[in-house]
Amino acid sequence: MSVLANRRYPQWAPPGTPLTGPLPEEPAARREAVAARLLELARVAMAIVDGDAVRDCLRPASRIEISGDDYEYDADQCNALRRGLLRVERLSDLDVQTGVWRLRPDKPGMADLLLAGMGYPRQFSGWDRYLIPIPAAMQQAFDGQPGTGFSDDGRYCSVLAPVRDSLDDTVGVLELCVALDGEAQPVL
Amino acid sequence: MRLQVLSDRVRTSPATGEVIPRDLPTSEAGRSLESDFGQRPLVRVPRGGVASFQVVVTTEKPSDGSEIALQAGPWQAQGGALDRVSVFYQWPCRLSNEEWTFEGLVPFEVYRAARSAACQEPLGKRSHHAFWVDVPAPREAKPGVYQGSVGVPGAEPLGVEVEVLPIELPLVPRITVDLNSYATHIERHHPGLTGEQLTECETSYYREAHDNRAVLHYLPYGHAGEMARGYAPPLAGRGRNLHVADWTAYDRRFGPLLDGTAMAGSPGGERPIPHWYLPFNFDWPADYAHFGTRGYDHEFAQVLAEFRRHIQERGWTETSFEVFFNHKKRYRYYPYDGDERKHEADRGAFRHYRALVDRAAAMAGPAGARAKIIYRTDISWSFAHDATDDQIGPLYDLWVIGFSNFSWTRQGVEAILERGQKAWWYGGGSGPDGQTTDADRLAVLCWRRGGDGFMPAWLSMAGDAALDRADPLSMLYPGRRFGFDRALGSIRLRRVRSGTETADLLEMLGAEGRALVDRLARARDEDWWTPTPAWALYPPETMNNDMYGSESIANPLAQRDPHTPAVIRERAIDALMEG
Repeated sequence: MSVLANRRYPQWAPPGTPLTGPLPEEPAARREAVAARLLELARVAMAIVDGDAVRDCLRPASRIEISGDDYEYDADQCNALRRGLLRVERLSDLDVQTGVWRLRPDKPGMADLLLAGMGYPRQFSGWDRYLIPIPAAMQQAFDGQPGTGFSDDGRYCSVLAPVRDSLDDTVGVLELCVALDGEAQPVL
Repeated sequence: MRLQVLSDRVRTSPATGEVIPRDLPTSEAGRSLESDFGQRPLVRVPRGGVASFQVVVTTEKPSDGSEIALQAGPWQAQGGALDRVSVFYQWPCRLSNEEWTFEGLVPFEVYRAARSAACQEPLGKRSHHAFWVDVPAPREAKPGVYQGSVGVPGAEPLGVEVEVLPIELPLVPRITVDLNSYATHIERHHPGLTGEQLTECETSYYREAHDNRAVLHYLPYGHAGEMARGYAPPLAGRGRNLHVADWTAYDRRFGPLLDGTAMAGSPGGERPIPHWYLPFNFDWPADYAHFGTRGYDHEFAQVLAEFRRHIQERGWTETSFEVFFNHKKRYRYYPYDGDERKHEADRGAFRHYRALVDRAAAMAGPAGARAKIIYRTDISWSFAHDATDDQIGPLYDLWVIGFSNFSWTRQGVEAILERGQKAWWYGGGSGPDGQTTDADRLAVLCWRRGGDGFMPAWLSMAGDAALDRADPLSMLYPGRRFGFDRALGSIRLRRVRSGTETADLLEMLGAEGRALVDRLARARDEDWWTPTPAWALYPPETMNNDMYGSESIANPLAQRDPHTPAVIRERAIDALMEG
């Protein structure tokens, strides 16, 4: 029996886009290839990142402004989500930084980093930089469609993909970020 | 040029050459100590200690000080000499209130050899230059009064006596002073160094701390669990096959610290570094993608067992290797606070990792039994609960407790000590804007409370800019601007050394030492502790920082003459000499 069509993960990248392998040397082509590869990785990530864990992993009191001392996860849900992010990173031969963003109910127009993988996705986040105005590409993802964003200085490429829970609600945005300037080396 | 000799208990002003007012003695005993030193400069030092004093040189014309050819020592007595004298140029720094004082210490030969641009400190050319002189008293030195002098060409030398006492300090200080820092700071402050150059630079930081009887504690991983380069040996395999692939680089880089050869000739004692953070964390060596599985547990315990065996095989059995989790939820990586637990739910993780530490010991068996692997926690909110809790209390070998919590939870500290565990506190240290003897006071306070050590600040390694602008935390500075890719010490670090020496002298006196401290601090036994605030016994989840801010912390020494620690030290020496 084949997989029901409504259960398939959406195809976002051009068909045949590889997850690994050499990238073009020419900068513009390289940017395009990285973005496509991250889009394909985001599609695979939809099978690994648990949307219900994204929805539930933060304790209700921590979903709005709260002291860092009191910030608290549901450990099981958080571990499930973290496990997914770490696995997604390992599928690529690029040094992909992963993170999941959520909307802040108490701060319209702002996104908050819910959880990061092995490092902060550096285009939009960093040490103690978790609450940000929602960039256009991220807003597109919160609206249900993946977006691609390059940093103004050209250093980073991020793909931002909607994360849906079991009710098919968009409950967060997965960011996959790669440094384009060679700062981050391939890990495989 | 004019010379003036001062004790090591004060700072001077780079602008006036005078002692800064907050360091002036306010008691009869303190004034007497200073005036006695002024009339007859004499430093008493136990064997294994270091005699220190200062020289202020006033030049006829403002200068950068590099032309001052200061000569110090050697110090000689019949049948011996103290000839390992070190002279440091005191670097001026600006305080938050825009006053100037001194803090960083640059080896004077380094300063003189540095390019002139390096010597252009922000205060500009001055007439008053301060020097710090260290005269170590080796353990084998013959007791007696050693004569020496300081001078510059064309000026009358000034005599300074060093009396080596027939008292020997213990090789390991009774009070551990922990200089905490974090992975990658050395590389950040000395960019471009690699290989042996980086190792030599790094070792100089450990050595500078050790020379002053403190411990550089360099946490090797970040909050995600990522490792500073080289601070963990490479691994190979997965699951039951996970193992250390190669110890070579790890041994070459850290072996000299762990076997003590890097401390050869150190005035802080020829011994291995006493404490060492292991690389173990939530994501090393075990793969956090498997957290909660038997594979994760096996990976963690198996590699820790391998560490045990390796440590024993290498003979690194004097160092306490710490398993410590610094991760915090707020940094968006893990669902547990490994550090500063506040939530009840985190307790399970601590118990689990203790079980893995014990499992590793069992796996290593006799081949790793002599390795000192200890489980450390840094704790504040939950301390009053956890220290006396039947399940949590026994988990840890080393408790590093918030200064306030330590101060108001006497029953908790005593429970730790009764179990044979160690109790340090963190915090409570002051910057160069504090009184010069603040670190002495902390050491005496720690000893008087029965504690085992303290971490004055969470970060003890400053960047270059902090040389000019006082950093309230750091005691170690980079020498790079002087063309010297080595650590620079500081006046506060010298006070740490002095304070731990005083604590050792008091320890030799035992109960008599406690009575001496109480008498000079005019304190009763209970005055050394703060009453436990009611909220400290509530569930930690109900606490907040405002509660902490509302409490004042008992420290009888803080209300006394800043020279009281020195008076205590001298009286302790008197008592030991009489005894």
